[in-house]
Amino acid sequence: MEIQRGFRDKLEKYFDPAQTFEVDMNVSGASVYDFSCFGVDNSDKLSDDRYMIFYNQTRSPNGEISYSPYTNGAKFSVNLSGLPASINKLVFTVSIDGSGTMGQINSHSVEIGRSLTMKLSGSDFHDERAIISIEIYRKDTWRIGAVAAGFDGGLRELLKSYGGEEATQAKSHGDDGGQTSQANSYGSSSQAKLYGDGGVQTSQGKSYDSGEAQARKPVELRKGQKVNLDKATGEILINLNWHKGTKGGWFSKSGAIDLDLGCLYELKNGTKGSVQALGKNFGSLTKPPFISLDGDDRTGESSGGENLRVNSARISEIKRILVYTFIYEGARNWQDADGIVTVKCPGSRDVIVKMDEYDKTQGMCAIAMLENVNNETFSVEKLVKFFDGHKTMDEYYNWGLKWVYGRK
Amino acid sequence: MAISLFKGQRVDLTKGNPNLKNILVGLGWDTKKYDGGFDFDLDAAAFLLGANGKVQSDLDFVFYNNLKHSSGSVQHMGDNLTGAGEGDDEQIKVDLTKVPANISKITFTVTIHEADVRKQNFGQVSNAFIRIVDETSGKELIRYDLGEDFSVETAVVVGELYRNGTEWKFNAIGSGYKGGLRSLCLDFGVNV
Repeated sequence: MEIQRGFRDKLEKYFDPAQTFEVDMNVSGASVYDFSCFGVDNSDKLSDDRYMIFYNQTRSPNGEISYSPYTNGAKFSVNLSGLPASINKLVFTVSIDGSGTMGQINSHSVEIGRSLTMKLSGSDFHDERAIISIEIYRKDTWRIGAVAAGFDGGLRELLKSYGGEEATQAKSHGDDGGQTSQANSYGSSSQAKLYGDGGVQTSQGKSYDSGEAQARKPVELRKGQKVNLDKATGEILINLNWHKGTKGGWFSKSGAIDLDLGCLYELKNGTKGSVQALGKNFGSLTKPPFISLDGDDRTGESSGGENLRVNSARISEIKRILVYTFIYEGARNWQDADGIVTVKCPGSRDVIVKMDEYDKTQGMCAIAMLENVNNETFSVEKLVKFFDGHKTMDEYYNWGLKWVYGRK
Repeated sequence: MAISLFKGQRVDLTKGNPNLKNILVGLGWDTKKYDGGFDFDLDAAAFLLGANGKVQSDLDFVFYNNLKHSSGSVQHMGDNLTGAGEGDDEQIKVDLTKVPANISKITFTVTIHEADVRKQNFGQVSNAFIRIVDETSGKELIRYDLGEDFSVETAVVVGELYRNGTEWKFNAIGSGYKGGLRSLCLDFGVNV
């Protein structure tokens, strides 16, 4: 029976899960593909790394799962009744070794127990480097879930996402993590893949794909949409960039566009204030408010735009941050400026807020609101709302600061 | 402690709690956090149905484009919550005393927006739940965790509040349907 992505059902409806059966996976495509099975616990973690079955570990401790490759695929022989109670789920994955993406494959097929088949093609994916294909899991009884989801990473990142450790620590066979010259012991020609940046290598000569972590697609928010960053770590960078405009000649009417980036902050202890160039409140990363503004870029000539930085180590002291930009002087050419705010947090996808609405009559635009989530991270919400100035914006978002005029 | 329901269970809401007026219906779910592909956009809705199981007007369908029922009895709080985590993803407030007499039940649903285009279904959604909180006391009265593993459905009828004489009761339904919000609307008599 053919199944599609999202399909879930009890295995016993299709074959006897108490008997050993096969999961047969293959890919037709131009890259090199690795097929793996992760036996994880009920926290979705590989707490016992002997249950990662792949080309370098082809048999689980008691042979409950074994791996046997063929030309463009692999068969996993699975004995569910033999698995220890701690193994809650088997996740079957395909990952690319080297270059290429899953969007480029011709097809990926999986056959389970000679009863269920799933067929996917490159059009089901994008630029991911791995696929989480199917899961076989316990829930009252053994069930199958056709996940068929792309994963932004290679085998190393998959292993990491299941909380596993790299081969040098966990699975080395007397290997101290250095590179040996032993040939692959399965008889194929020596595959001493040596990566210049110190790729993981086991004593059997085959290593994980150690290339730089695949850049993850940025998230562009819709108006009113709010997303959480992944766990906040390091320095969160909030960058504003825009079309600078030309300075023009003596009689030129269009001038350089000077957007000023700033923020209102509210700390958990009730302290409130702003960080912006006007008034010279450049803030501080090491002292409250733990938010700082890079020096003022008055003509936008510094091609990187302007930056606010947030010290995420102090996140438990920050309640919320309202990021705004205003045009200090000159025409309110919001449309020409076409500003973009990018929130970059180490380990998270970049969050992009495009200033894609324009109000020529207003000089202040509230772009995004960052709010503390459980002291672990911030949520980012796209606002792009215009006001005639700081005071009106302050009142709208209930900040309660006192505003006086200033000059740069 | 809130009562935990199983699929098909029916419980009293107002019997033993006669002053119950304002309740908050919270709905939540987790979507798999795998990378790639489209984001999930799940929408909660409430259908105010007559004795024949159908709406009497298209305005009896309360959803993201019709947030407040004319009677003031049902109000959808919009998609303005933080999402991930333990809490509700969407909330619908109900004032039991204002529900018009010709409404026999209020059915709560969750559907996947643009499921066909995005090739998504409830097989990719887990830990769905509905809970009912007494807004006055803040106490959670009922919780139904849809432990059922949904498969290729794109709409779920989660549960319904229904009249039983002068009382209100809750029925934990937890049924999935293919055809998304549109098919539910057609079933409930909404003109789409």
